[in-house]
Amino acid sequence: MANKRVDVVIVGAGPTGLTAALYLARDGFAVTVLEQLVVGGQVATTNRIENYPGFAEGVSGLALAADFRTQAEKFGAKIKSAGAIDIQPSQDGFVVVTDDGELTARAVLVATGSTPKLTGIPGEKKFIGRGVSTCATCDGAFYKNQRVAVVGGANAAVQETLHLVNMVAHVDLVVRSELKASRVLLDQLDKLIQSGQVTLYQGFTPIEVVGGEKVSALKIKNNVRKTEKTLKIDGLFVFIGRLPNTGWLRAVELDVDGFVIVNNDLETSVPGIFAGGDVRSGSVKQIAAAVGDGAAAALSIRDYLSKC
Amino acid sequence: MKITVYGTMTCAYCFALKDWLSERGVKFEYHFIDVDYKKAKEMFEVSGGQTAVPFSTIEHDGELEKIVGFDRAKFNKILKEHGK
Repeated sequence: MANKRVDVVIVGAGPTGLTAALYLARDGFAVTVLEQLVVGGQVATTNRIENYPGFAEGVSGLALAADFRTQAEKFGAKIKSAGAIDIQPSQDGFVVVTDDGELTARAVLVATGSTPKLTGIPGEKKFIGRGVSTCATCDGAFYKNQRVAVVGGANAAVQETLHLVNMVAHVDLVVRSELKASRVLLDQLDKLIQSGQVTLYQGFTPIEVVGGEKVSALKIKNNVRKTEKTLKIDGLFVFIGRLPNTGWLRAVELDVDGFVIVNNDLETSVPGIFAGGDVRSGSVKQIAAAVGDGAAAALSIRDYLSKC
Repeated sequence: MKITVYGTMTCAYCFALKDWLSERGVKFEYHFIDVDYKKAKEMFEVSGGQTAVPFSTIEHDGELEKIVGFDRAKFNKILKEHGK
């Protein structure tokens, strides 16, 4: 990618980045969106989305991501496959350094989202890609008629459990503390527990992934009784939260957990650099909220550009 | 150089890799292993039991490179070596 000059560089093509791109491009700004992995971000790797307004019957994540992209591109936003490495101040605004060249922009929006967190228990790292996964939509097909465990108790863990039961023989759902998923998901989960397709281990902590060539078991420990139990499984899916994708970002102030600190205008500690979506400190990590951040950031950027 | 990519029909990372290779004009074979049992078996054998997609093989200069995931850095390195 040759050094190119645009009005706005958006780092990350998830719901926030693509919404901001749509708004800004539609307003006539030259916008380039950088994405190092998947356009659509976490949305694209989610099997089914039922809590995004406008889709009464739900929508597949891949389809929603594709529509986000189409709508942004329709108004002229350019999407480039590249990962940002740094944002540096320059005479004209900022230089965004990527793994495929540099871009000069008058303003930058950081919308890099987050990455799945792992448990860190023994055996987990060894079996990543060989029985341990953080994407049921991607890898669930490998476990047809087999037994798997899911670790986690929030919406993602329950949603992916509901997806996995359509393929696998059985799911052990291991929840360290409380189930914190939405009522509609918990009602569906209850039915699967009643039918025996899912076994719930609430109040258990995973302690080791066991196996030889591939995963054969997950050891868990009861938080109160301190007794151990071995679940015989062929695969483990981990959904215990996410980490911000800010390892590359040195230009702006981050909170103690690495999320980007912004003000009410979604502007970071550096004027002209904005942040929104899951990567923002205090975000609620919902698609609708990420889209809202994209719109809000776009309006703030438009205001910022009109003054400089 | 021969590139083979194994993926599933619901894997966004697989589609992203497919698009990325296509944008660069790179020729490759793509197999949906969730609907093609023979190719699923082939991937399992070649990868030594890998259970994550995308999984890719690159045959070049008498060597067989195996890449798990959409690893742009690894792909870039090999493609650059071959003038792509």
